[in-house]
Amino acid sequence: MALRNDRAVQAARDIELQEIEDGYTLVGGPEEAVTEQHDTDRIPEVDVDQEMLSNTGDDPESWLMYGGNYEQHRATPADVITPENVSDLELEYELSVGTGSSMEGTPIVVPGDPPVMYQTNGPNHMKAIDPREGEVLWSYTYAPPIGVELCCDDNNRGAAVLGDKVYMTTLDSGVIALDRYTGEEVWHTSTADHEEGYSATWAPVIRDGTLYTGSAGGEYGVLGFVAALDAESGEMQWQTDTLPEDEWVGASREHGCGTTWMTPTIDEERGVLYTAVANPGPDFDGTVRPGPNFPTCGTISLDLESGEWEWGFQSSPHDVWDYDAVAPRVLVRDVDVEGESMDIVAGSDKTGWVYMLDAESGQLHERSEEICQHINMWEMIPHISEDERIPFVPGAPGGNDWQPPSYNPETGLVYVIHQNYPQDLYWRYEEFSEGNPYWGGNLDDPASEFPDEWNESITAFAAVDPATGERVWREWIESEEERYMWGGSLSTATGLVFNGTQNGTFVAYDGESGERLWEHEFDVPISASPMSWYDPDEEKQYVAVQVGGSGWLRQGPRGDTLAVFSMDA
Amino acid sequence: MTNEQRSRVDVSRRGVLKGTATIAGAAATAGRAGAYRDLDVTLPATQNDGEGRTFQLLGIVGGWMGIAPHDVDAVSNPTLRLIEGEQHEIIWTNGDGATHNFNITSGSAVGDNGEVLEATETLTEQGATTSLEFTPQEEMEEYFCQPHPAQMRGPVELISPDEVRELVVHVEDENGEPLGAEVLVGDRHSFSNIAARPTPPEETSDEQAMARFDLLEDGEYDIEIWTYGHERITDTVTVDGSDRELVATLSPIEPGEPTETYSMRLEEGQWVGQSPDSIADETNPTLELEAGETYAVEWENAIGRHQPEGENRHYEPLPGHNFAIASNGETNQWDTYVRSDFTADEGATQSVEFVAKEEMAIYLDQSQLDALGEITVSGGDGETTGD
Repeated sequence: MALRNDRAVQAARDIELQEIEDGYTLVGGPEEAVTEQHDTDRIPEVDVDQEMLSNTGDDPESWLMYGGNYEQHRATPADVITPENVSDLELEYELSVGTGSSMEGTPIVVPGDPPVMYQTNGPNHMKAIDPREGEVLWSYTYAPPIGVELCCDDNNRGAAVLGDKVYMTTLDSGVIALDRYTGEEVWHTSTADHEEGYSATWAPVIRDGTLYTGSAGGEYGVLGFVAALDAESGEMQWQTDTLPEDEWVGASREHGCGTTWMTPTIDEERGVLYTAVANPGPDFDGTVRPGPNFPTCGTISLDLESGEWEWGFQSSPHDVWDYDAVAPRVLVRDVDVEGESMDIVAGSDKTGWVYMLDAESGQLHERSEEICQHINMWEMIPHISEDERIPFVPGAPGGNDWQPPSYNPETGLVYVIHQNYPQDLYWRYEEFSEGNPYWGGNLDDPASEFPDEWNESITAFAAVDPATGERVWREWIESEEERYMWGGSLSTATGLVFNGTQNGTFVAYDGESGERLWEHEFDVPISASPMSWYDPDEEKQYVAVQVGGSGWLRQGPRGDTLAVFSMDA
Repeated sequence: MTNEQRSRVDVSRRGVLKGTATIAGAAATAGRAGAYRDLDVTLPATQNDGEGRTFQLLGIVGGWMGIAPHDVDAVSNPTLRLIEGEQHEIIWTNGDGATHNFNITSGSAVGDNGEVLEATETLTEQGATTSLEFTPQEEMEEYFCQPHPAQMRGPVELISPDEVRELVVHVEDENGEPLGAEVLVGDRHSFSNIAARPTPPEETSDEQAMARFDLLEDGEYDIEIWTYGHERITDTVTVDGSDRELVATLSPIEPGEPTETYSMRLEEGQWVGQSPDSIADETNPTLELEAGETYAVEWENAIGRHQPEGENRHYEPLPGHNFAIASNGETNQWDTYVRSDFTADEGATQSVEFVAKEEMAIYLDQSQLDALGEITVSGGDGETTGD
């Protein structure tokens, strides 16, 4: 596979500096989107229908959406790899994706002969891959316009699929639809003006011909929303602002943020979606937005058809610490709660707890035991001119930042990643200025002083019982370079949990006990969330993970590897 | 007022810009105020050198953040305005520990035909600083970071101004410690950024807080400096034929004996006056103050960590409650003059002392929607105690 001749890869590489006689020159970098076709004939023309999407969580041969299923369990029913044999799991191949930018994505796999994987990474690059051979069938790079405002790296976390199309969000706050057999553009819809600070980095999700997407720009004073687009035409069906007018006073709502910057969770039975709602704006100066700032740093439920508001829950009212709720909500059905059955929406938030909500009402059923430490929680932050700085744990990256949890149907536990690192914060007056950051203060990373109580572990990986909130086990993870752990986990039907660390270690855990059963070392951090599928023709279960440093702080060395492991049935 | 021109290598702390009359209007609402721009790494002190401009930038994955001079301060991916034919310097600091470098290119940074004309080394450590000296060329169009071209990228513009000067304002407190403050020179707004000379040193004694204004023509400029908890100082400065530096010393606002003590209870959605009689039993009573006088507000938290309720709306408890005083205007423009810590215990009392200022217009518990009352400030005639 000659990726060096792939124009789309070169475009995504954007800038490759080449030394020439009198200095340097630039190659690559698109004025317009680029599609490069390698072997499109290999893609079986079998359209993905709603039944396949609804059942993908029960189909070991497919992984058709970012979260593994509508409930976002990130759990494969494939059962070839077990706690007993996982020590024999081997690397099948490493595919260099050729771009080396942000690597936070989870690939999807459409079953067939061969199956087809759609894999994305920053900046707005997608590939169709034959995952048996590790060969690229087509590649595509979107051309983000000049002046895109991105708070936190040029991420793209994954694709969605329906019929003959595959979709991804674009950094300029849009959605692009491609012909999944050819990699050619079909439509592009902008959901908001990127010059105001809006962007988009998550994977969209599709149900019943409608594509659901959110909003980013919570550091730029935007107004958050959730949007629904017709998947066939790209036409906007509805767009609902996250901030109810009666919960905000004066002009504060206009720039109150409350963005929704990860993939919504779909409840097919209730006909609603659940999404996390991020921080209020400005982040650190609370006076200019008096009140709880509902439902920022919380969870909302919207009607799938109309976008109408169902309920909201706020985990950090009147937040001044940037304790977003971000990570995808996990819907766990039929949890036995004191003899009664309850559908629970689990939200793992930057506050350092997991909130178990009644899916019907949004009422808090249980807040988990703490996942990370809590030091100086809910203390007022000082002004920039004040000497007194207070170290906070968790800091602004959480707790649980965007890293998606997984739910393991075998153990009945939810697995979450929480950072545990002191930062200090301060506020100051800032006037809103469109397209410029609107923080109302700043943060120190690391904190000027480390609190004595801090245990010096930067990350906690933990298992939580959604019925009781009990933290069943927790592993503290240290990082010599003090990098944050930046990817989410994968659960399997056999009770395994896979997770990649900031130290480059890809780990298979016993989901019951938290024991490490298998490890594979990479030389750069893992910042992505793994996935898995079974290929009946090869009679193998595969596990795939993207490898490379990413994130908005101390991301570590970049990488450009898609690593695929396998085990014979 | 004393200020004097200083040599570049010896910025002493002798000169003190004394507080005088307050110019009408709140400094903080004029001009474009700043935004997040750093992760609090100490930056090197920089000044224009010769006829060209010296820019100071911070590299973070979210974009290049301008620091100085004033026209780039707190701007994301600012336009770099370069003076034709003069030697310029870009001094940039790695703000987040990701891998960055700085390049200037002809054409578009992500276009097909661009050529990198200038480039710095790559920095991977948070707080590391490097610089680039160059003379602008006509072909220069954009600057960017090679590992993060999509987000760290901005325009370059060539200008040919008339003769211009630089004014550097150092801000410090009464002990000579650097102080982050807002600085206005005419309609130009900047912050005094904490910087160290010549490069970030280990010892903090070399730190200073400075705001840089350049492209100034000769003339008289109104200058205004303010930060939270300190007196606002205003004056006029003359720029005449050469660059200038001056030092402003801000005094903390130190309340004296309270002229009056207001006692209130904070309940759900409202303040209730207790004493004196003029506010007793009143809901969100108006506080009538006189400029320059000291007041105390003693209030009792009657709701603990209040947990709001609503139909289909569920809340965790609020972080606590506090007493804040802000200016008038749209909520987004409220400048905060007093902000107490959160208290979360039912029955807890808090006493807040402050000196009344003309700009004060409202008081509130910032974590509730409706617990908000008005403040009227009389007298003062534009005068506040300056020191």
